[in-house]
Amino acid sequence: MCTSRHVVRSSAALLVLFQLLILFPCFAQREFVEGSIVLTSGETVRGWIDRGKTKKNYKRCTFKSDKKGKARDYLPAELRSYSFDNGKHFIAKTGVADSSNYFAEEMLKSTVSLYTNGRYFFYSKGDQYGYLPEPYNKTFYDKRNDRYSRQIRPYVDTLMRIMSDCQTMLTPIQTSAYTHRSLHSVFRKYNTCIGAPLQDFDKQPWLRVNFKLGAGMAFTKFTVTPHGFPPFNEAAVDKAQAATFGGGISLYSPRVTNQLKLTLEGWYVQNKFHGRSTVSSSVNTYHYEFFTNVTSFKIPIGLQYNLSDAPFSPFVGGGFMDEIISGTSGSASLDIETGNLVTVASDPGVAGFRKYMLGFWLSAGVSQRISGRLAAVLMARYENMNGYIGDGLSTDSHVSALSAVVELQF
Amino acid sequence: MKLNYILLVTGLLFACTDTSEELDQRDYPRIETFAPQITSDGAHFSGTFLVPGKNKITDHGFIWDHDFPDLATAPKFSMGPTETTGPFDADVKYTFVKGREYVVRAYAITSDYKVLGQAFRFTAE
Repeated sequence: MCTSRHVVRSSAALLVLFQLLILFPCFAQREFVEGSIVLTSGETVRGWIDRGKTKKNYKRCTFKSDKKGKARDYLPAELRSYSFDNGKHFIAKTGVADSSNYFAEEMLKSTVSLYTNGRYFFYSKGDQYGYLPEPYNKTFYDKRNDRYSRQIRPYVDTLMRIMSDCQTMLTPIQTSAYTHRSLHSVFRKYNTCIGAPLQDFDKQPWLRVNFKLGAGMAFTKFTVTPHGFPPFNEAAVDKAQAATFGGGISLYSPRVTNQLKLTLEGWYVQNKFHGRSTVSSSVNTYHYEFFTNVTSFKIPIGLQYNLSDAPFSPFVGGGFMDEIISGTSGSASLDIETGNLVTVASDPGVAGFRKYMLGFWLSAGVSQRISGRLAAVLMARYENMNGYIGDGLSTDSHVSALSAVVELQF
Repeated sequence: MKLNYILLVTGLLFACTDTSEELDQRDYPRIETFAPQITSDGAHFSGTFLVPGKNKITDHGFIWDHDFPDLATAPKFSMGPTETTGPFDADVKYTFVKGREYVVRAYAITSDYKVLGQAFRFTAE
């Protein structure tokens, strides 16, 4: 059953998460870097271009010729192209589908060139400029009239057609995904295959940082052998269920791979444990029972590997975990049963907790890109720690937890 | 569609949480003694039933003595049988010897068990 207090706490964590997500774009600001624009007249003007958000770069170019001067927005109809000195290159194009103008990022220039407007991909071969149709899911019915869904990838047919003169491209095209990295790789392979010189504008950075915020539930198992007299057996402790929330960063190298990330996270959780242990001697039966509240901050550090570079991808991860215990409290009782007489002993105490615990974690989940760098992640994480060792409770304790969390990455 | 599944699972995740804060039930009633208050003509003793046992309570109250009070021999304030659980208390008129230390315990008796709550020491004034 659900307790209202936990539901409220969980809802509050989720609310804070979404508020932070909404506020995040407010912190974005302009960042001008050196570059040049080519006017429709053919004149090239050097100056400073707002790097801003990638999405904006496809719609307009904010340019100023003097670093301290006033910036002006150029629409695709006013420029032939613009480029950042760091290599990114945008060409004014007319929309294939709706005839609207936009700036296409030229990712690779060669015999067959690759472009993107941030969402879709385009190619040019000679005078031909075309759209690579995006994949979609189609519903089918089998012989028993059972419904099933299959992804249709029409861009594969387009690539097969324009790259038909290179036999070795069959496998790379068939295994490709409709993503920046995957298509860039296919176009690079093709132009190399036909021996065409190529100019690569899509040099990915060596290092990129992703931020993430998340919330979820932690199911924690605590095993402990209460110490002192009498020597108790391992206590039976109810699994603690508690809301958890936190965040972190991921570091990865897009130039090497988008799929392997170094992650550093921090998760807050407040667990309440209820345990008991009974032991019998020839004369007495001892009933020990305790409640323990533990507030802690988990710091998992490790690696995450995405199984594919596609917008929807499963992933696995693992690493080390440090848990900082910031607060503990509790109560205990000891009843001594002698025949039909039960005597309640004074509070035996539950003091003496560790301040830090160490262990490891393993995770698995799925991530779904929402737009740009924003992605939703659903993850299950198993944690195994060395327990809340302490004078009052035990010289041998152990903690394992299964956390189910949802994260937003940006 | 996949995003919808993620949101659905998240909702279910947040909806299912539970933590029990109740003591375990045992065959005997579980009782607790509270700190006594000394009065001019005796003392005010209090205690509570934490968890009821399996059988009816035939007697409950407080016992006290200079050391560990014994149900059979120690002075006793009996409050008789009860079917209600929760706190109970009594104003006990008794001539405690000034300056001497006493120990008080709440007690409960059923057909199967005699239960003594934890001991509280106090010094008579």
